[in-house]
Amino acid sequence: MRPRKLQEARFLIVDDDEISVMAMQRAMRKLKISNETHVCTDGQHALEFLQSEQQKNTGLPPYIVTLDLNMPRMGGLELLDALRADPELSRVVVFVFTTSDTPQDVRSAYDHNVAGYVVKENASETLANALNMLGTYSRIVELPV
Amino acid sequence: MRTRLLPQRQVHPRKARGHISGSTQPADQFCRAWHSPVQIHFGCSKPYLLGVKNVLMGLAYARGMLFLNWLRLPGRDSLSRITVRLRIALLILAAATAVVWLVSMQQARAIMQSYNQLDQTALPILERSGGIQVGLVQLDALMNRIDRIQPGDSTDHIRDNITKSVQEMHRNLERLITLGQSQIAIAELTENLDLAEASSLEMLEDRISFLGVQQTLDEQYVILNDLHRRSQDLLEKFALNLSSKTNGFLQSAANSDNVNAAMIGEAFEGLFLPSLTVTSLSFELDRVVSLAHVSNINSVKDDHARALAQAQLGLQRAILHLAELPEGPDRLALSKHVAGLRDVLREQDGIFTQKRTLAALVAAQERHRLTQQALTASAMQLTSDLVTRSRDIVEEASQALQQAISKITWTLIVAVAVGLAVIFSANYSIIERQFNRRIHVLNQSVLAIAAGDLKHPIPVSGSDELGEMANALVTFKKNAEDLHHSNEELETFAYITAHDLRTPISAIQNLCTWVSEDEENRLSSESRAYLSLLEKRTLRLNGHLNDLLAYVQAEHVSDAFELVDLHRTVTTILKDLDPDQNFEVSFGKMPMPFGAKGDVLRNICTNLLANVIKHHDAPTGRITFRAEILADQYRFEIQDDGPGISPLYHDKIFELFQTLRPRDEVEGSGLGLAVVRKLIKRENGAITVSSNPDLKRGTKISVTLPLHPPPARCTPARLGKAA
Repeated sequence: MRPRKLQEARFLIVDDDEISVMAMQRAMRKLKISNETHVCTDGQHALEFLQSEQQKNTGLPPYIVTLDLNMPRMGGLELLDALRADPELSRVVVFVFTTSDTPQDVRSAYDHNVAGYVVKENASETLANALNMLGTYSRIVELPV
Repeated sequence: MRTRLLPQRQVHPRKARGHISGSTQPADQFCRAWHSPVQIHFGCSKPYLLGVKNVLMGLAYARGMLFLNWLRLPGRDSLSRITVRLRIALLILAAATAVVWLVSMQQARAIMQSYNQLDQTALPILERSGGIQVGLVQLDALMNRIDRIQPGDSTDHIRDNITKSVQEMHRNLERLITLGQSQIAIAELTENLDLAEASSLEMLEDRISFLGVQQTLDEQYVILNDLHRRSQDLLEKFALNLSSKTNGFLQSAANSDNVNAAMIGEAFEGLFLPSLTVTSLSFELDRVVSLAHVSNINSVKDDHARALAQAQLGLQRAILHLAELPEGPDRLALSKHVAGLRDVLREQDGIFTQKRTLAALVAAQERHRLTQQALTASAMQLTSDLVTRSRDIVEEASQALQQAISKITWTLIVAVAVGLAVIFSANYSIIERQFNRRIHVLNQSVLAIAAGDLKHPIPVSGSDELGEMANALVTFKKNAEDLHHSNEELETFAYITAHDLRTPISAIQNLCTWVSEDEENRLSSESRAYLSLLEKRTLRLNGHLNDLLAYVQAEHVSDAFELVDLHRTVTTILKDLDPDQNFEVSFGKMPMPFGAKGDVLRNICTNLLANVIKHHDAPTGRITFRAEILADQYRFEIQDDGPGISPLYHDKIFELFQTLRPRDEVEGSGLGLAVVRKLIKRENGAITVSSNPDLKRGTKISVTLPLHPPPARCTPARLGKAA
């Protein structure tokens, strides 16, 4: 029997649009995803947050990051650059959740080894499916340490 | 003789300045020279050549004037222009050709002159002179013939030949006069000829007379000999008679004693004297006859006269002696013979006379011959002079010919050399360097830039046409770059705008949804209705935004050509628009894949098919798709079985934000057909709507668009991607 995970996966939602954040939280509530969720409204905050978390617990913080690409100050791709550049944080699991469907963005995101790329549409169904997938992911997948 | 090839008197129009009042404008001068009475001579009498030369000069001047005018472009830059240089080069070539032509014409004319000279003067002279010489030789031969004429030969033909020959020579002489030979010489020659003729004819007559006289002389000799013989016979008879009588007497005298003086006297008279007479008669006759025989016909006239006198004396003595002969028939016969001898020797027509005549005739012949020889010699001399002179003319003419030919040859060689030099230098300096290489480079640049490489350099410059084109190309490139940039900017703008507008819109939608979800039970039905309307309007706003973006971006739909398979394109579009396959699609005869602007076509088809589906009033329907290729266009038709569009609105439907049904019934921004129309207009295509709901259901929309050549490197993989 596998030992239970030491730490439960947590979600880090990086998005500057509060409605979008609210939508995601609502959806998670509906799906009964109860993992701890933290929100950062821009890349800089997210980076600092992760770094501080990492220092606190010496090891990769167990966050699944959902990342929006269009943000002020440090955008999603820049954050990815910073994360992948930092050896301590480079293995963080990142899912891109964005309205942009341009192939360049998709390519750039995967260039940074994101775990997945989800295009946010207005239909909440898509969002629900994606979050469902994230919930399952958090339960099944081993996060890097 | 006209062998001159140089201009006789040439007045250059420019040098006519002295004659004409003062304008220094070359054009004016030329016009005045043209109209002035001073003509340009070239020593020829052919007016057409003169006229042509003037025309040529006029053309050259006119061209020069035009050229100068036209060259009056600002600055020396004009000289570097390709067209200017090419025209200069071609002008030089034309000038060289014209000069060559002129010189060749001159030389050709000289050749013609020489040829005419030869043909019309020298050669005929030679011919005639030769004819005369031949005639003279003939005459000489005839004269020799005359000498050999024998009695009995026909002399008529000789006479005729002489006459004919002389006539022929006269004719030749006349022709020589018309050919322009010296009249004095010809007159002399004619005189000589007449003399020769007269002399020849005389010689002929003389010869004939000679022969006649010869014959008479021979007859007379025969008579002479005959008479002589007879006389001798008779005299012998006499002598015998007398001798026998003498013998008888002597015998009787010897026998008898009685010899008296009377008897001796008798005997003497009757015997001795007669025998002496006979002897001397015989002697005389012999002498006369021998005289007649001996006298030489070649001796001088005096000899003949002397011989005649002697002969006559002898005959007289013979006659005297005859008288002393005893009478009798013998003496009668003898006297007849002597008379006959006398006749045959008499002065009027006797042998001596005949001989004298003969001698004269021979002398005359000799004289004639000498005369003839002299005449012939002088005639020969004269004709030789003619021949020599005409040979000189031939010499001269052929030399002139040679000169003319060599001049033409040299002119042609020089002209060809100059022409080649001009062509080669023009080719190198203008065509190669200035044109070929640079236009190749320019061509490469243009093609590269057209193909999309906006960074391609344009390494061509200069103040000529190509330089200007290069500068223009730089401007075009800049424009293309600007366009490219503005397109990119627009795309970015559109994208950013869309995103920035969509975010609040979706936020509004979400909030509406959440409120209605969370507070469903606590809201009044009115509030619920308001919320519902709010949601719908937000959706509409989103839809409008999307459609407006699509309309703006329709301007920038890609122009790329590709090989289009309509069947696959339509099927793919319908898969997206109608995933549940509510609509049945049937295809009519479809053409083979053809070249067209793929994105444009897809955009139009998507909009039209979306409309069909959206406006259909039944949950299922039928769409028929047909297409065909026309000359340089293609046309496709979409036929549906929907409610149809009233003819009143066939134009209105294409306007912006125009819908046929209220938006509450059918959601649509009314931009789809506007986009379609915009695209079709951009492509110079056409769209027609056929529908009449009063007659029957259904709408047929037919679109015509231009074909485009597919890219050369179109692979099936690309084809798949395009479809």
